[in-house]
Amino acid sequence: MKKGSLGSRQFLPIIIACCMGNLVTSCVKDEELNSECDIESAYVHTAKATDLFFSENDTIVNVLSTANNIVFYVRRTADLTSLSPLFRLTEGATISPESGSAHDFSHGPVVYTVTSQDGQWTRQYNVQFKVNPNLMDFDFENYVLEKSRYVSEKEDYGFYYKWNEIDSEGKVMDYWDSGNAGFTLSNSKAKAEEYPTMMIPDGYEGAGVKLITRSTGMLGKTFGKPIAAGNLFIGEFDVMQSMTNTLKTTKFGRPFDRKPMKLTGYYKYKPGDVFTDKNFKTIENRTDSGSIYSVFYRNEMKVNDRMEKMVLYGDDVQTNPNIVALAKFDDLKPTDEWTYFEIEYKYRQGVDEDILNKLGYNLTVVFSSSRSGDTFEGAVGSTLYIDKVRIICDTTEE
Amino acid sequence: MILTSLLILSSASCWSQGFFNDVKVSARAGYNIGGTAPLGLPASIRKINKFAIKSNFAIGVDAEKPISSKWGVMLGLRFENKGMETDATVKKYYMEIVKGGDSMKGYFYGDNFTRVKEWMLTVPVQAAFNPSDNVRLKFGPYISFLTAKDFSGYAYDGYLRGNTPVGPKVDLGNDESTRGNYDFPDDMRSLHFGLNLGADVRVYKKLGVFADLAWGLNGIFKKDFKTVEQTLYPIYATLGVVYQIK
Repeated sequence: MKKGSLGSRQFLPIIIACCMGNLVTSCVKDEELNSECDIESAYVHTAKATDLFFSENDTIVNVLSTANNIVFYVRRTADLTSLSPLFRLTEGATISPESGSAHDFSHGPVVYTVTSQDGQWTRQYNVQFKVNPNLMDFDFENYVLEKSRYVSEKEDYGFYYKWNEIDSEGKVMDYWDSGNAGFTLSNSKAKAEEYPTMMIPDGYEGAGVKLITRSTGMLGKTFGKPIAAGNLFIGEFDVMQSMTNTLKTTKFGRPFDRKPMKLTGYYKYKPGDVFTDKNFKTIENRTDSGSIYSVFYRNEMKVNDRMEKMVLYGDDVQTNPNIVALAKFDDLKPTDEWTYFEIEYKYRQGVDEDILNKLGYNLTVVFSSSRSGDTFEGAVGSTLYIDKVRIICDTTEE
Repeated sequence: MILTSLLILSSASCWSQGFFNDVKVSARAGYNIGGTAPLGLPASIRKINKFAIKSNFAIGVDAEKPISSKWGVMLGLRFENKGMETDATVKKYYMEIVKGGDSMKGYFYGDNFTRVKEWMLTVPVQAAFNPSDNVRLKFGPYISFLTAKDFSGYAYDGYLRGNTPVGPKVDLGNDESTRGNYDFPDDMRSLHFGLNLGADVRVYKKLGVFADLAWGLNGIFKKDFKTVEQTLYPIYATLGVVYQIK
């Protein structure tokens, strides 16, 4: 009997421990087929790359997970009648028409559909080859209400304003972007008029843009991002890093092949009442100020003896050594009347005409309702209105 | 009238004295080993990186009323914790971060850490079978009243795809403000029930060891809570020592 009881004492716990162990570990199921169906990058392999593109770097486009449009910038003389772009897709996904198949891109975008490995999901992309439009006049009349892909299509909320431009062929194209896509993450139920960047029907002429610093609410505070300044800039907003590295969300600039001399436009500004720091604590006696500036920079840099494409981000947009010229509105006084501004580009280095013609420079224009909004300092309610922005260039002045 | 009621009372007290004469009372202390988990892991969980049980003490008393030479009925009371911590690598794992009426939801690809704490008072009612003086086998239902509960954790080192498995990606990092924290204590049930199966084995004089398995039959979350898609059941074994008081 003694032996028996000793036996139970030893074995029973071991048996139970094994059962529990099995329950937890050995039940990991076989991996399901992947549901993702993104184009991660698009590229063109061609012997005559230099006939088509200005630079080897223009033959590849890295695609954001938010993107629906993939644009290759080509020479004005490029023959677009038979091009065969290739695509790198997420694991297991397939694309139709096939990667590497030849199509005529001379009449505009070709639509590609990517299907996930599990066959359950699809995404459509417009792939186009176009000439850089060199836009210089911005009236902000081409706005759309974009539906956040963070909000279910069934919901009637999740819309925010986005501004497009019209290219030289009269087609709508991405040009400006804002942090609105990031605001959705913490405030998915906000109306379009509750976002930091929105359209106003009564601008200086026609519609204008209103940038207003917003509180991001409880969820935003949890993420250590208590405010969202209204912003609008030439470039792309990459929502991917909006939790981990906010300064990397703003990819400033697009190719520009003229020498900018002056930035002009109309604005109104009113600072918010209470200035707060990144922990949303009040800082006494500090008044918020808005921000208007433009940066013209060289868009390639040497990496391991090779010239690679680069863009400016929030952390180096005014300091990067690639900056060629900076126009900055330092004296943005509060005013409730539409007020004209004109700021000059101050050149830090010379411009290479050949590189300029080959789209080797980028230009961005940045507006923000709180100057330090990128580091979450500012006053909720600070409001900057913008309209009729012009970039006066060397050639157009004559 | 008074007489009859007195009679009834006295007989009742006699009966009750007799009733408790052969009741065996024991005290027990043990440790809960197990997990709060779905029955069969969903395919979205790819790998368990870490699994740990937390301060899962269980103390309690039981009384057994014999009804024959070998059979009896047991009633007990325990105070115990069914807690755990897990860290898993997940793929297309649905999650929602909720705070102040707004939420961020989507499908997460990366690592996920979960902490569960459930302190409770448990009342087991069991049939007892004593094949010998040294062994007692037990089986029956139990009900638990939770006194403290927590289900929290965070998604980290990966990316969340908004709304659908193909929505826009948002990277999540590995510190307080960059990971996706979640916390659902208010969505947890305060009452658990299930089945208990176990054995007490006398080892030396009045001292013995025991092993019980408590299989939860209702999920730890309220019915209308959808964020954690799988129903999670508390399934824990208790191992410990038992001391016969009477």
